Amino acid sequence: MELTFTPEEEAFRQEVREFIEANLPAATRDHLKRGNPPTKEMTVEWHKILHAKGWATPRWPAEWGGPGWSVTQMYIFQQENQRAGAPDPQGFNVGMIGPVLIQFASDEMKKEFLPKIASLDYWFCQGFSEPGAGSDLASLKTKAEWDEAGQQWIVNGQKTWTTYAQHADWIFLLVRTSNEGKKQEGISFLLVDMTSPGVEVHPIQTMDGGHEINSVFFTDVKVPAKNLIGEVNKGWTYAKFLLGNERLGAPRVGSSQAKLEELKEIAQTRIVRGKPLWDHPRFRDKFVEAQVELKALEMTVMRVLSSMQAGADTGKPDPATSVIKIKGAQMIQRLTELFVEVAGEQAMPWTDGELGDNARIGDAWVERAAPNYFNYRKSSIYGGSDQVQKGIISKAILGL
Amino acid sequence: MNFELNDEQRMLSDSLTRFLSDKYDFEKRRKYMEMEGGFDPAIWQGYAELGIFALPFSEDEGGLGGTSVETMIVGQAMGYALTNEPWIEAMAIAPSLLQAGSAEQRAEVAEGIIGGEIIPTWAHLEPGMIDRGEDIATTAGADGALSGTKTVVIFGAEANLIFVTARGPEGLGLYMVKGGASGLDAREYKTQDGRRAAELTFDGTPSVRLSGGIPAEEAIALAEARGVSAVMAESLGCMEKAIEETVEYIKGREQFGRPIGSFQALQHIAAGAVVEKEQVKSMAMYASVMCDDGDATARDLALSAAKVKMCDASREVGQMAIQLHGGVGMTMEYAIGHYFKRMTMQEIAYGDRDFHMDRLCEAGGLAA
Repeated sequence: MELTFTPEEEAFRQEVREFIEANLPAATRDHLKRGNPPTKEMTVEWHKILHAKGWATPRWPAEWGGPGWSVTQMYIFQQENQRAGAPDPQGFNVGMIGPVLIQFASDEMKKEFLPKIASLDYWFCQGFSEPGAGSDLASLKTKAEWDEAGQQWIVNGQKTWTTYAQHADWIFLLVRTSNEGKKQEGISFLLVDMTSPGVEVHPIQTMDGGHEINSVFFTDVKVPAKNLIGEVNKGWTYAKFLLGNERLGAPRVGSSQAKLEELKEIAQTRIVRGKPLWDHPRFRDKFVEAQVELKALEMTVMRVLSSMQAGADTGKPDPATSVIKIKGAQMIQRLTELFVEVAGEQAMPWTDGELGDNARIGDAWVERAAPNYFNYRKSSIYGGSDQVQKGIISKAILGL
Repeated sequence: MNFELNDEQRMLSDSLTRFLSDKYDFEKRRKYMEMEGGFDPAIWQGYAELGIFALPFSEDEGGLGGTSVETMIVGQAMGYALTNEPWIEAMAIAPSLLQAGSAEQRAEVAEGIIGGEIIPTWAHLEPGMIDRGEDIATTAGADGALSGTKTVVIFGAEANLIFVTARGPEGLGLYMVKGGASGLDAREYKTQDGRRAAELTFDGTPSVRLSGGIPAEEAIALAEARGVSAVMAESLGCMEKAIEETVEYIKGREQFGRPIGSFQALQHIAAGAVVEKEQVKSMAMYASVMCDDGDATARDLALSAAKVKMCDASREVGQMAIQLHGGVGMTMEYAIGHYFKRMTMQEIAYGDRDFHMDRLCEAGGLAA
């Protein structure tokens, strides 16, 4: 057992750190440092810089442009990228659709799509949830019907909570292709061009005022036969594979470490009743408790990666992946709470600019404190809610 | 970075688990507790024959030169089986305290512990001392004669080698006293979790000071760190078993015409306990590696972080286990209450949550 990194791994960390330092655009760094989500342009610009370096697709096999890193190197890269306050490589492309295509698509589709997914020339979004299919995803109703004459699929229905659909060139969809047998066995996996006639994107504003998510409507959308990935009615298998990958990316340990450091810096300079907040025992307790939780999360993430590296049986459910999902969400949420608690009443102004700059009474982090707290309630809901994860643990691990 | 056990470590885990599943179950444990001294010397000898006591000692000391990871493996198995013997004193405390001694002192005591002849304990806490950082009042003369009172000394009346923390002419020191020495009085009692402990009074009791090694303060800090790590591992084993017992129980117990384990309210509580247990597993690994770290400050803060996590998780898992067992969980007849009691004692052993939170807070948290 060895928790420290080898000199080679430390050298790799240094290389990553220096590359990010030298190449991350200052405007992006400042924008994210203020607690804002990256704009599309910022994500694309940084993604392309990483892609040119060969680092945008860390977990892909070398054949499809992956850097051939060990699990430890992937972890180091992710941690450094997050700590530096850089945008993540586009997750739907790199962590979801890419691996699904590599695993299940025909060679023709791989050649057509993977290079553009890797370079982010195609921005993919995820069309899974529907108004009537959230945690019970398999009850989805958006249907694809086979058009024998046109040799194509015709899609009708509605997807929702579609993150960054407004940016997307393509969407990967779960669609119903059969109503026979178990509901999981009538689902297929389809790639749809967002510019196809009949695709409409309607924005959903979240309570923080942001626009990340959308409803996407499909009315008689024509999709070429080759865009169905793998086999008809096997889409559920591919979706489960994809969601397993999603859960591993969820904890964002490096990002939480950076946030905690930022919180400490703020507390050291914020004078409360004559002394820095940092010197108030009640704050110190909360800080240390968050730090302890984060250390435990970091260790659990490293433990899972280590067992992957050692070639653990991936068919067997590892309780630690659901633990990571639940605890990762809690950690991010706890940090957003702490920012609100540190901001105090200065967190009240709503700085959407409608009444001019009157609301800008505090530092940038103060403005983002409440919106980020509101926004990150999502993290225990998406990617399988806490309750879904506990259901998985009860059934797959405890046999209840 | 590697969290995997090597082949030898896996073999250690397997052989100890086999030994314990043969020697320990709820009924057998009850018999051992009724024996004179509260444990079966044959089991202690069995541990020695398995070779586990040789693990923490260096090869120079006649041991196997294992690390705290081996101690963790042992602790997890001991916790799972709910053993009572003072293995932590033998495997985590004694080897650490002995670092204050000369090569001869270390080799001599190590030989006795490895062979199972020595049952060691540590007389450190004193009456009224609820925080491990407080001053030691027990004194030692230049000739090693000890005077003072020590409290909650685990198996203090059965141990045949007692390490005593005392103030001597040269400051804080560690002294070795033989069981049954003159001027040593032991008031023995049972502990909440089924072990034995004693109040020890020293009145001019002859002792030998450990000298020739590292300063006593450093040896004590090392023992405290390894003590935390060992008790973390034991706690992990207890949590694993407590969850297993609870899940078995709610699968079998029927109310409203169905197993109560089929109710989602109970499932989610049990799943929440699994989440906490997994976090403790990660922190037990972290603790075991960090307690061998050469930087004492980093080591102690890491161990404090681990202990804080363990205290929180232990409460949640332990209380969950009793709650889901319902009325029978309250009884002496069921194993689960005994696990709960052990887990509660683990929370307060080697510094409670407040002690470790204070240490972290004073330092401004873990190093980034």
